[in-house]
Amino acid sequence: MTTLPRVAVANRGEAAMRILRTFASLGIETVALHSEADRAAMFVESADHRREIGPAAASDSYLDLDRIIDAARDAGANALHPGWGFLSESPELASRVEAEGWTYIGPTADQATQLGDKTRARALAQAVAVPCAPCIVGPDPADSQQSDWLDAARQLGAPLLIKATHGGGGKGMRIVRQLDQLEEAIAAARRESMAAFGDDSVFIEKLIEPARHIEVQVVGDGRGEVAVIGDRECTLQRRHQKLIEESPAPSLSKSLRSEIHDAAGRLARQLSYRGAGTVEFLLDGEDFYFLEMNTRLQVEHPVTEQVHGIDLVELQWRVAIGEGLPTDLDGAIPDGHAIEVRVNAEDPGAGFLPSVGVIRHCLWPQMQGIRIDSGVRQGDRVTHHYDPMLAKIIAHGSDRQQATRRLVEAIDATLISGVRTSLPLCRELLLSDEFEPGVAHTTSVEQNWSQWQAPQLGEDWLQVLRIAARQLLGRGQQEHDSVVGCWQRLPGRVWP
Amino acid sequence: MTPNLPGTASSEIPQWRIVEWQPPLLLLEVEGECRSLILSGTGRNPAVAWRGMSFSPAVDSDDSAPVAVESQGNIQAPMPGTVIEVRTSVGDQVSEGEVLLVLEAMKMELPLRAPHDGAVRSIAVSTGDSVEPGRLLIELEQEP
Repeated sequence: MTTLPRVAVANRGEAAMRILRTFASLGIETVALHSEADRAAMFVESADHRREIGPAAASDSYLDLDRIIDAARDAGANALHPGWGFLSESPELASRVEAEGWTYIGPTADQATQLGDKTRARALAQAVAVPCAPCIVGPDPADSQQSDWLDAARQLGAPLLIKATHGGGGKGMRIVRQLDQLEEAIAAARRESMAAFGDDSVFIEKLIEPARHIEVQVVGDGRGEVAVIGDRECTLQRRHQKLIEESPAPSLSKSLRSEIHDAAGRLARQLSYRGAGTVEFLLDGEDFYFLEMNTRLQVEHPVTEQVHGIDLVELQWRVAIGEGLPTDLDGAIPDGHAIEVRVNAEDPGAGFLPSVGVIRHCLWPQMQGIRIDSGVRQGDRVTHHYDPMLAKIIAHGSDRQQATRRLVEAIDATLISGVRTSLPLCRELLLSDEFEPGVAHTTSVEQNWSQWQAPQLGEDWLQVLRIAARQLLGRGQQEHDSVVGCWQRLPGRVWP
Repeated sequence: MTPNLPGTASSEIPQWRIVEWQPPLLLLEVEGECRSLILSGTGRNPAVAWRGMSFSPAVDSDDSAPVAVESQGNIQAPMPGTVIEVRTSVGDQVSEGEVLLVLEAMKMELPLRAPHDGAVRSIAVSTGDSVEPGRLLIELEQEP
């Protein structure tokens, strides 16, 4: 390449911040593509160039392929990183970017097509002897043969899991425990899938439960070399969205670990996979079942980065420009243990109801072994237009116990006000028996923690704090500015 | 509850002392119990965090409490979002727990259910409407 690279980031918030940081460290120019609602967002300010791509609604901005390509071209971009969520698994994005003659930082359009279609992905997995759960593939929604399909699903028996063929992130997914609710659940899954992915085909799997969620990180060079870079466990979830993730998976035996790693490697090698991907499995005792392969960087990638001392966005870039993989990467041994909690704007004491509003305070700790990946700062408005994830706190320690302790200490030193967050629940989960290896299942949070109530300080404490705050912070309206020390107001820069 | 007058000696104010103040970290002892808190903001409008939860002592005991979903048969929007489905009509007899309307926010569907048995008196929104929190969506007849 004779021209200097300029990377457009087709994402927002925490994902955009994470990607921009790596390119800044590589000295590569960046373009933030943002919606109207995100004009003042931290990630827009952090990029070298910015272009507005449309109104707040994601369908008119972050999901609008034409606007993204036009804006990136206008900004002189010659590469594009899709982040995660939005169009990150869209084969059309990959082919449009490559048709412009730019570098797409992700898999080929063909790989994204094959793996994005979950029923085809299952067939690929089965072709290389990776076990899959029993499944019924649905006909086209327009097809008249609905009843045969439903009968077949009923024969499979409850509990069933309806999944969007092109879905992800828990969207377009429904559990059916009573067969008379099957049709209603299919309709809801189709609707949600159409809204989120622009496609409403679904399929039905026998629900594996109780199950734990294990996934394997892979990076391929697109020429047949694939590095398997450890595993993660993400069993603690709500509504199929992960809350706490860790690496390495604590409940895998040595032999099961190598079996699962091999399975993931076989699937990726079969495709000569290019870029970073995650092969997800459900673990039921010593049996594991292929769930899907995500053809993008995963939200929880930082736990892998922390224990392997790598930068996955940098690896994605090197592979995308044809530099190939470092030779010592495949089968790398993790150093210690890393755990991540997601800071979602939602109220875990009220059924995880989304919590919107203005972030009045946002203070993150800077502590040993703690990494903060955040997309928000004080004064930002959290709207209902986008995913509720605001940030992630990642703790790295010499072992799981130390990482857990560090993470709890970091949560205790964090202040997010103005919106409710998942943090108080995550803190209790980390300290509960549920977090002991092998105890929790993917539905444990919903089953055992739905009555959970957030900790309350009590009137005595609030009364004292009203007085103490006046003494310690002064009587004025001015924000106390000695609050810097080891705390940060601009979390995007915290990176130990 | 009597209003709190800062600085005045009142028997109502519990025993307390500041153990340590390294902004924003505050070790505070109240009635013999010590807690590690984060304190920031202003004297008039402080923000406090404890165990991942935030509080605004000057305003409310609890930060950012959600809007009540239902009051006296009125079903209101608990958060901003878009109405994606209205599953009932005026005059319908509905039973407790029945889904009356589906809101979408942050790309998740939120079904709003009937809080009690009753007839639908009015429906104030239709599919596709954007609603703000607290907006009246559906009125149900009062329980007898």
